[in-house]
Amino acid sequence: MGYVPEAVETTFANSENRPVVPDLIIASAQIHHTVVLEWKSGANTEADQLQRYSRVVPADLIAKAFVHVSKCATHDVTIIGKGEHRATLPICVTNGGYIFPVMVTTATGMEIILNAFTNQPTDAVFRPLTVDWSKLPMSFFPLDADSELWEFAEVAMTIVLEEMANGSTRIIQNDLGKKMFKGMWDRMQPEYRGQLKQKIQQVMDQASRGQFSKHLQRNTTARAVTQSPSWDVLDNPLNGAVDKRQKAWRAMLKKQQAFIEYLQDPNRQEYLRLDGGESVR
Amino acid sequence: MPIQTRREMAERLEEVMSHAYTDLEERQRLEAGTSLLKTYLLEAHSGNAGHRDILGILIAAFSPEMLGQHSRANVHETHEEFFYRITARWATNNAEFYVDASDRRFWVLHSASNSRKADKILHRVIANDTHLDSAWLPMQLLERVADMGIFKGLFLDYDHRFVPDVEFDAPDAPVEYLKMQLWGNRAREVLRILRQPNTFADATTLSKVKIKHYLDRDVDDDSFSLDEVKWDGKITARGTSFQSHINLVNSIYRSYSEKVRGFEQRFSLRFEEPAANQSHAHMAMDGEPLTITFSRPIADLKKFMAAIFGGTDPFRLWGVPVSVNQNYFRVTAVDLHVTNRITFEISPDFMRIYLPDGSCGNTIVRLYTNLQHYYDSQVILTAGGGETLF
Repeated sequence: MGYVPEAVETTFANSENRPVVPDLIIASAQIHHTVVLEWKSGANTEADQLQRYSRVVPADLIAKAFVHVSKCATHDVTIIGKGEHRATLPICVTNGGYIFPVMVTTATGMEIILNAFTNQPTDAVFRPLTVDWSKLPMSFFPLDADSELWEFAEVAMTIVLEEMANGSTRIIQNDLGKKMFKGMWDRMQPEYRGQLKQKIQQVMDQASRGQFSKHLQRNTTARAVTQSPSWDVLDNPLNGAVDKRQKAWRAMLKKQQAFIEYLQDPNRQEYLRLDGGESVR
Repeated sequence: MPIQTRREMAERLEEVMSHAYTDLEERQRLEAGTSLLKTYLLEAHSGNAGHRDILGILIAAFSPEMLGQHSRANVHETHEEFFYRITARWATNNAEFYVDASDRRFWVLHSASNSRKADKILHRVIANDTHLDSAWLPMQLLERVADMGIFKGLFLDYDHRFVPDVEFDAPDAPVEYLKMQLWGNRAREVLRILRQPNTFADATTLSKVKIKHYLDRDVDDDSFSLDEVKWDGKITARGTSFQSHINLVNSIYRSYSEKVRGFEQRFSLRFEEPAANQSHAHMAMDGEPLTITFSRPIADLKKFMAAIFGGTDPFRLWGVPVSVNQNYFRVTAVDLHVTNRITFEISPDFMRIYLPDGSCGNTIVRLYTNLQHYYDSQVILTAGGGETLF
């Protein structure tokens, strides 16, 4: 039907100049229809939020959410929740007399439990929609501030090794963050970026004290120059003699595996740095 | 007298082609010291390089650090821009190459030296230099090449042993390897039979096609080339016309480069700033993942991933698989050919690929082509919406 994602968690004002923040907007130039999606993690919907959504008109979608005019001749707002809340989610929608289709997840996909999409072909898709939940794409945004340290290590250490292979002699936290969150790092709220920086630093410190201690060492004096924590590359077999590089990558594979497993262990003992530079667990 | 221009090279290589053609027609073998013309399609990851930059890349690629101790190479500029001549020696091998880098990214190398020696030198350079890679021609592209001239024969080359996810001794084990050479007009018919259901459809991988290509048969049917086009981008030729050969080479390269560039434009995941005159607009994400689907479920996912992501030939992808769900893994990998990051999600039925911005589309084509040769001839590469990409 030609639907494409238009916006994620974007804020715009409705026709009464009150804000709405849908989780996702999708729209189709082919069928000239837009769907505004609101996900509810809890059991209930909020009357005020539903009222604000009910006052969204195509002109708001065009002028304030920047959906192309050809895509929103008609539109629907839909509420999506967990299957376990199928009894409570529709209550507020029914009480308010709203026409929003309400959908819930099931073990095999999603289905509409109240009302219908005004666009019939769109409605037909969800009666029911089959989804294999275990195989959804998950790597568009592999990391956020809530990600585990081992997930940060997966990405951060891969980039560190890539940098080492390209001959880098120093890894700077801010540069690493830019590469991990390409295109987004400098546009983040400083507070949020700070949370990510903290996790990057934890991973790098643990790596330089543990599995990768032969290759990386925290530089405690360069910060005045780098404006950011940094780690020096010590031994770098990935940038050494060509005949030995493949062997070096294989060795790094074992180290990376061990590092991820170490970080996944909830009972792990932290590596602590001693004043002399050595590490203990 | 060393060659200094593309015209001189064409004249010299046409002599080589013609001599080899006559030898093989008359004696059914090549005279000692005679060899076929070899053309290699090479992809350079060098950004928007200028003439001197490419010279630098070639000097580095053929240096003892890359080619190995006991090697010696000279890279010469010629009278023409983006046209170079290389003489190289490594161990007991020596060869001369002419490099045409008119397209700064998709280079063409020619050699009239001994095939085995030229191959050895070039393979070593490509394996060790992260700026250079072969062009990888999936079998669908080779089949299109077969239609660019009169079809004369084919090679099949499939070898499952590099990805040993099954016990080959088991009674119902899949084909271990299948290699075949078919000459003559009926080769295509044999290919069709092998691909029928319940035969060898998932193990029949086209690795080389031989065609007779005319520059323009209506105008001159004496000007032709007999070309053997291999999946790793090597094209050997004999015949009467270098023009015919280079015309074919350019047609193949155009198809290939359009695919690679198209993949990068369409699938690279990138975040785009709003335009300066759209300060109210939000940051936009562009691109989408690609999917490789297998014709049969992967028998042992862990063994499969160890073979693909172990950092070794032929795949040369490096990464640690982490479990996302039961039988569903994610791998943040490095493509060791070009030292670029790339992310995979893998289940027994499919492999989803996320190409970060700045990565090379060649990685996708190489993986897809290698899977055809080393795992499953019937793998399918699709876009998110299910559109087949080859």
